[in-house]
Amino acid sequence: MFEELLEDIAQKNGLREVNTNLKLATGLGAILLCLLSSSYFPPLFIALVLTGAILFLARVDPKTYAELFIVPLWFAVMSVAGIILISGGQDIFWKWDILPSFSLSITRDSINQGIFVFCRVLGGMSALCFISLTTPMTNIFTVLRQWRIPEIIIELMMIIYRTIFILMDQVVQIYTAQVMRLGYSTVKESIHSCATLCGAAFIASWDAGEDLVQAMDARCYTGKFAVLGENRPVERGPLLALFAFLSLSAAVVIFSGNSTII
Amino acid sequence: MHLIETRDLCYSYSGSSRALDGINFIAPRNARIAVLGSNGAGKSTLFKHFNGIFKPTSGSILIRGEPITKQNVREVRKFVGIVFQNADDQIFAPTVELDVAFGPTNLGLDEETIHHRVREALHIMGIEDLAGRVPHHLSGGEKKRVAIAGAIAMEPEVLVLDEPTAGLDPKGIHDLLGFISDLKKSSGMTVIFSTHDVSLVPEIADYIYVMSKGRIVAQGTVAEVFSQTELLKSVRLDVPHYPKLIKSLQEKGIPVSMAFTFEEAEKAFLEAFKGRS
Repeated sequence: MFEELLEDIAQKNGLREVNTNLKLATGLGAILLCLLSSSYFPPLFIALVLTGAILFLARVDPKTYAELFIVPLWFAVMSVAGIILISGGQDIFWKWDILPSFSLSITRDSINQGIFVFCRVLGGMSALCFISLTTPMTNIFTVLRQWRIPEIIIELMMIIYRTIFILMDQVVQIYTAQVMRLGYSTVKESIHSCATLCGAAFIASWDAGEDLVQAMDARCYTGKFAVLGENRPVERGPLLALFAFLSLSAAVVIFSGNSTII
Repeated sequence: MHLIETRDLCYSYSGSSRALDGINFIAPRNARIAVLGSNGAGKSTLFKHFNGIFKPTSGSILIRGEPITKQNVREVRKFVGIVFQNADDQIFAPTVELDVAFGPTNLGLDEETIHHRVREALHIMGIEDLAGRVPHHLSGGEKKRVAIAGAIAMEPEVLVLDEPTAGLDPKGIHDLLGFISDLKKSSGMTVIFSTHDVSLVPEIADYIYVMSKGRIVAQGTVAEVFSQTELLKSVRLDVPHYPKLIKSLQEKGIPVSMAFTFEEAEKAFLEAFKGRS
């Protein structure tokens, strides 16, 4: 159920040894370009390139990647359907007056708008996936320290990061214990088990929090978290690749202008 | 002056009965002290007094002859390193290296010293290769070692281990015992550990406290404590196999001298057999 988390993939992906700044620049740059673009094509282009990078350079299992994409994609499809039906425009293909003041219609403009939004979602998603699948959180902490983000924020992030896994472990253990005793055999039973699971997880995390404070105190906590570890050096290959990717995408953004699909 | 001394220490968790009742505990320099007790005897509660996490309800605790105050609690925690039972509660940094570096960083050491201490601690525990790993990918035994490394990176003079062998495999236990006896030779660190696995105790401990229901019910050297079979049984503990076997043989009239560790027992049996042949 929870066996493989994003972080586990990031820990062993093919691009792990690439400088973190470069990877973040790739992802954030891609998102920015997706937002700047006013045509459907550049986000689609970015999504394709980054997906290629994720699958072939980072060597992420295609099935895992597809599964990761499905959930937000489902949301995107539903909202795009809404956009296409509700927003009006010229060249009406289909129209249904439900109420005197409200009608559903499919127009050239609404289709263009819908596809544009959908492509943007694809682009943004692939950029986020690129960051989260290639960059372990621990590397991001090092970079944040270099960027002079306030200590308190980094520290909270580190504790939250670790606590997620402890909580996750506990949830998995309780869940397994419930499954072993047929806790999810009927719908009614499932609801009951799920509620118990949430309650137990809450109490467990509360206890874990108290233990954490004690453990930190026992080691003389004065508000400092070690952030060791060097960023990998910027290498020529990845730097050129980043440059090529961003300039090519920027060129696509400029040349595609306002072009629409129909 | 003792490193750690408690005088009539009592402690109650809020709203419940006494967890500790009149504890008089002494830890001298360079000692290996075992605290034996069944589940719920109060071992962990006692340990949490050693570095000021819990404050006595009555009685006192002295660290190097001084009570723990707000002013010296930092010094005390640097002096007494505690490794709790559950390693997961103790490893809170994103990687092993960062976790071990946590203590030294908070002591305000410079970066080079921190690096050195981290390397040293990982080396002592034999886990240099885990440095860059994330804690949630470690096995139980590895987590335990990381937790101990985190404590020894602060170079305490007293190392307190709560149930250090719980959940370890035989090799893990063997390594841990080796490490504890090495510490004595290498750094003169005093080690206090709790356990209910009595078979380990004769191999490493030179003084034993037996706890039951918040009280110390027996104390003494290995020979003194393990000769009180009935008492140990009454507090839900056991006597190690060698003395148990030898005692039963002695009662049957076989002349074997008492022994507690593997080596002693081997010697005793060889001598007994020599006498016969």
